[in-house]
Amino acid sequence: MTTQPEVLSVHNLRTHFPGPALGLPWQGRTTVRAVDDVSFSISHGHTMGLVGESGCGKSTVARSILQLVRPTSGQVLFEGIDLCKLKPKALAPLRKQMQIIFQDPYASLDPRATIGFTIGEGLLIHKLVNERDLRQRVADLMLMVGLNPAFENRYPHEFSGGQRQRVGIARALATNPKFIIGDEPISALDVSIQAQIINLLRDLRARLNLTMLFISHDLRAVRYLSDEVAVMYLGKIVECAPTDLLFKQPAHPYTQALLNSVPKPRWVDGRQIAEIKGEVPSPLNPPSGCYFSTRCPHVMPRCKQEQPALVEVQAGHKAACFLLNDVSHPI
Amino acid sequence: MSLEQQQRDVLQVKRLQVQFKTRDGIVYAVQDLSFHVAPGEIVGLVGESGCGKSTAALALMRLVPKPGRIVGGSVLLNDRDILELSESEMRSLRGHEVAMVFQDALTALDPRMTVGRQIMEPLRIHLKLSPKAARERAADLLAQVGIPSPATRLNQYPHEFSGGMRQRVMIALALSCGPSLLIADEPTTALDVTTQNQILNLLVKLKDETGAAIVLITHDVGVVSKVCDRVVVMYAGREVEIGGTRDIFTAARHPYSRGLLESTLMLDGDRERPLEAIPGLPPELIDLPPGCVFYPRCKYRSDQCKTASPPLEPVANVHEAACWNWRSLNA
Repeated sequence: MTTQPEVLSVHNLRTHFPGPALGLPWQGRTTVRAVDDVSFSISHGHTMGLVGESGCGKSTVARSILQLVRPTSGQVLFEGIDLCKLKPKALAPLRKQMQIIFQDPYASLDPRATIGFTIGEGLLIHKLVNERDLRQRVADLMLMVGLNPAFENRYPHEFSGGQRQRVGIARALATNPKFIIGDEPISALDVSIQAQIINLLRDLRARLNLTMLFISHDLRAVRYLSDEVAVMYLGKIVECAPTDLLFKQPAHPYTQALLNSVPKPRWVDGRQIAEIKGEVPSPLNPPSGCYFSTRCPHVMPRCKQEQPALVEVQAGHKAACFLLNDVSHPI
Repeated sequence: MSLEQQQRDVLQVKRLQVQFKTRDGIVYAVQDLSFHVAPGEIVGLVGESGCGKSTAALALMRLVPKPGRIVGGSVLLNDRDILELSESEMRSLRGHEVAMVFQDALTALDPRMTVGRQIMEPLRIHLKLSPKAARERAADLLAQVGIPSPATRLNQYPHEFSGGMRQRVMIALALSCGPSLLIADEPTTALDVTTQNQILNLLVKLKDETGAAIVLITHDVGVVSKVCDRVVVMYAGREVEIGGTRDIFTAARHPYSRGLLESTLMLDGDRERPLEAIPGLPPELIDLPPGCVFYPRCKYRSDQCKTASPPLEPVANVHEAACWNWRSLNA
């Protein structure tokens, strides 16, 4: 798509977890296919948005990339190195290049550590500064995310949610990473604070030339932060396209349903769009064929039997739906 | 509907004041809140966390937890001031004339009781139905809120329901005795976007069928624009603007309402431009300084705002705002 080199590429990533036992001990256990055959890549300086409803596996993708859970199979290439093959010791020095911002600004900060310590800890662990320069570097980071450096000795409980999220961002940026994952970084925040944090992330991304994976359940947030968007449903990517294209011409019925479900003013949208029925099936027992077939308004007999592959609808725009095969890719 | 009926509001709230006495001082959680709701109308209370919207909702049921106290104003439910009622009179009102839907259905429902028993309880107590009749009515209610095979579902426990289904149970429970007023406190906040859409459509459908009035408490401006007829915008315990939903969305006259709308993420609009975030944080509600509560964050502030708190004044037909400088905010 671009001439920029890929910072991250994920090939056929699968992360499965053991589920509940099937019954008797020798019958074994069920498997939860949290991430099932996911592939995508992000080029330098770009942001990929990963969107989906709860339980679709988007956070597991993040954790699998960072090897916080070890994937079952597949490749995670970070600048050409397959992270899945690395032993923890070999992985450790690479971690400073890849950082994550978590959703919950309350749970993700150590309540007994000053925020100055929290922000600077990674710098010391990776021996990026000596003790003498640490304070200056922490102060620089705090300024960069819009915190007053005089607060370095304060504890997380003394800050509001938005300020804590700024601490989380400063901590992630401390080691000068090339690649940042934001796992629902604005979901726990109030509307006016969300806007502040989105602006901050956009500003930092441009200034530091960061490559990002931005995970959210909120299509609106994804739209403001991503160059490309991948939509996940039950562990699979069902559609992937450049942001404007995805929002203007969603190809997959699930993406269309998601977009239609975002509340809109009554006076803007007079016509009632049929709501999508039912709920996400259990990942323990996904439907046969296309996973979306149980809720899809366009379901055909074929959808119940076969799983559609992700195919190119047009340049850079992929979707996994038989409807598209029939129309633009006759077999 | 005759003119006389139209004028008879289900709920009239006048200058409601709720305070919490704490060690650090008095928290002015709700200050001079006034609004009314007609039958079949949905009025939204919108604002960010800590703005007093949930406390206001609890006050309408007289359920403000200690050390909170309703210190002034009146709450007329069908022309009767519920603040004057005895506790036993109040108990016969709750769940009967006025009912509530909470945000988190899993904690609001009793995990040890079948869903059927929970729905039958108010029917037995308030409507004095026989066990058999109550059971039939409960099954009807479940069917009405769109739960398949209601007779079997009655015998199940809350944990056997999905998030969306649980919220449907909550709505069935709230509507069981045919209340004239339904208070819904963030009813869709914990839900995924496709489920949220289903629940909002359900609320509107049931309101049309039963003619109940709804007070919808939410932080989500999108939800308000989709379902509410009128909106009360709250900030720091105060009502800063009230009016028809469309008027507020297209011609807000309070700087906070405008800021809230501008910082809201949209599906359309220019995504390259930085969002108009409101700078700063909401104030602590203890010992508020004199003057306008929004003064420290306001773009339009003048000297007058620092010293005197602006009253609500009409800015258009059935549209009021509490701002000294509303005339300088162009419609």
